[in-house]
Amino acid sequence: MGIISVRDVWKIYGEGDAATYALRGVSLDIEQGDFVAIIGPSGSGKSTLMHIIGLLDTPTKGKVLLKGKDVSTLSDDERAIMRRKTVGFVFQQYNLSPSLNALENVELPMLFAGVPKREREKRAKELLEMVGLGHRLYHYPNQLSGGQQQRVAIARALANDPEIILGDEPTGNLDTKTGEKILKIFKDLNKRGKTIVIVTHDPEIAEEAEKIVKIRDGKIEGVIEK
Amino acid sequence: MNDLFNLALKGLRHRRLRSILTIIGIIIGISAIVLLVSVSRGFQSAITQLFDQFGADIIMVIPGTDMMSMPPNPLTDRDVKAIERVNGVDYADGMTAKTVEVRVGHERRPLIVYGVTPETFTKLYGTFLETFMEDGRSFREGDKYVAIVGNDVAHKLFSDDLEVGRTIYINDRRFRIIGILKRAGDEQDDASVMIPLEAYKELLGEKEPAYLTIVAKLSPGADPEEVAEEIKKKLKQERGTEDFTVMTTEDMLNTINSILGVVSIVVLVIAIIAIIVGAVGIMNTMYMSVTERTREIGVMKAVGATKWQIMAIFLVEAGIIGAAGGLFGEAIAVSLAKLTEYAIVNYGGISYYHVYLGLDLLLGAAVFSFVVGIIAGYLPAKRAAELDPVEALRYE
Ligand SMILES: Nc1ncnc2c1ncn2[C@@H]1O[C@H](COP(=O)(O)OP(=O)(O)O)[C@@H](O)[C@H]1O
Ligand SMILES: [Mg+2]
Repeated sequence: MGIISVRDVWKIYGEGDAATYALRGVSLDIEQGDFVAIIGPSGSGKSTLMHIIGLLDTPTKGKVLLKGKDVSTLSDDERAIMRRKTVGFVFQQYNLSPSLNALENVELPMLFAGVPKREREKRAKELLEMVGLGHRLYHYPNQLSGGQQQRVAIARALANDPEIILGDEPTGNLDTKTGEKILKIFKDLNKRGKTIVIVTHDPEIAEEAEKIVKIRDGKIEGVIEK
Repeated sequence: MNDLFNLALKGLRHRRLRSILTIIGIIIGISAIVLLVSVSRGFQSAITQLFDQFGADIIMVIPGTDMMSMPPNPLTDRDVKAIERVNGVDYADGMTAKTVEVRVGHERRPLIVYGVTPETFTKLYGTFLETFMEDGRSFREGDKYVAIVGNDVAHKLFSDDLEVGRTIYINDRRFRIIGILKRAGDEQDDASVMIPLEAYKELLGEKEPAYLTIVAKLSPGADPEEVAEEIKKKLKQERGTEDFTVMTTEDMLNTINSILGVVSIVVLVIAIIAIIVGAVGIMNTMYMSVTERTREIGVMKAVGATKWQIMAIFLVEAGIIGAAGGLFGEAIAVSLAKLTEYAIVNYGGISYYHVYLGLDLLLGAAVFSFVVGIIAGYLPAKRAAELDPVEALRYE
């Protein structure tokens, strides 16, 4: 069984006539060390699936197993604690805290995990150096380019050394060249054993993945394995 | 917790101006409360000090039934004698005064001259008076043509600076200055002259002086309330009506305290209103902050913040706003208190007055304003904590 196992998951917003079916019976297995791309048109349920895998959301129906543990019935705080150890999110809009500098943004997940200040700082520095931002530690988000911000966000996703990195259109706001650089970081992380799941519109980026999951109207249309 | 504190501080610094505007209500409220406590506690300790020196075993009788109205019938020697016959009274003494011309060299000034009985006066006020003496001594038995003068009499009213041993003339009778009082701050008190009662009667031709006050010293162990009751009964019998007021030290303290109490309540009400307004301001700011940072809250949750951690960040933020208001308020209160102290010492005639600015008061007010902030921030913080992370992340 994979590190992530999604079993007949439904997500329904609203009720009756107003109900929106974001996911209609999705089943998916992702193995440790996989590099998976999820593609599909806008509104097809990609982000919803991502949020459920990443413990940010719960399915209306169905089960999600993370490392063999059923996580669909955990409380909000239990999910928060599990989330901080096992998944790192990278968003399309970077989503850095504007009041914190790069270093502090990367420290944030460790802060919530109760890592002492000194250790936090050391690791955040290492991670920023790894993504090539060792010279921008004390810059605030508004002093950084989009690509730089996204690299800070990746460093932040890695802060608590999670096994899974989830990227929801991480290159969506970047030009092609910058996007390629970001993708390279994801690929490097995958080589080092991280399980990577990214949502993308870009077929070229999807081509780089080992496994492509096509989703439409809340259903999986097909899986291409290479 | 310490880390969450820093996080809250950074969020605040990001929105500095609004944070400052929010705290005005707290500033006003806290400064009013601190000022009130420091000034009134200053009064209380000054009064207590005064009465400690004066003694709790003193009963004062003044003509008239309330402090405002003028005396209908003066108190006389007969009343003094009557009071002295009351059980529990050790001795009693009357004080009388009149405006008389006082001459030094060729200069004549109309001054208030008090007549007092030397022995009892010294027994009554001796220790008390010493702290008010700039120079010289109090009266002693056998003194007759001697005077204790107010500070302005000695240093201001006459072109000559008068020292102990100098001669002044009252009704062309020589008096030797034996004591000079410290500045009282009150124009009348500082321009007064005290002489022994015997000389007073002789000079002013008053066989039966009208007393402004009769002070009775209690015998050891006597209960002031009981003795006051007895004095009241006796005097009423003697005079036919109750056209006088008998006050124990306790009564005097109570009168002053009740005046302070009324002032306190007024200030307190104003302060509470200001603090409520301030708290509502903080609540508003915090709601705004939560709304503005919805996405950020979503991210914090995405990176593993629990509800309580989110809650703590916003509670601490609100607490800091409150405490900042409190500290500003305290700074204002301390300056105003010092100003008040200066005014009371220099113009109010209480030279030993000190406002109270103890650490407990300042620390207490700071903690209090922090707590007010936290209470005001509770609902917004709860809203932040309960935000659905997915919704929060979608928020534009
Ligand atoms: N909170 C919500 N309430 C109602 N409908 C929602 C909500 N969130 C998402 N949806 C709907 O669910 C569907 C899938 O959304 P999403 O997962 O964001 O799609 P994608 O990421 O593929 O563009 C869309 O039709 C969207 O409108
Ligand atoms: Mg999406």
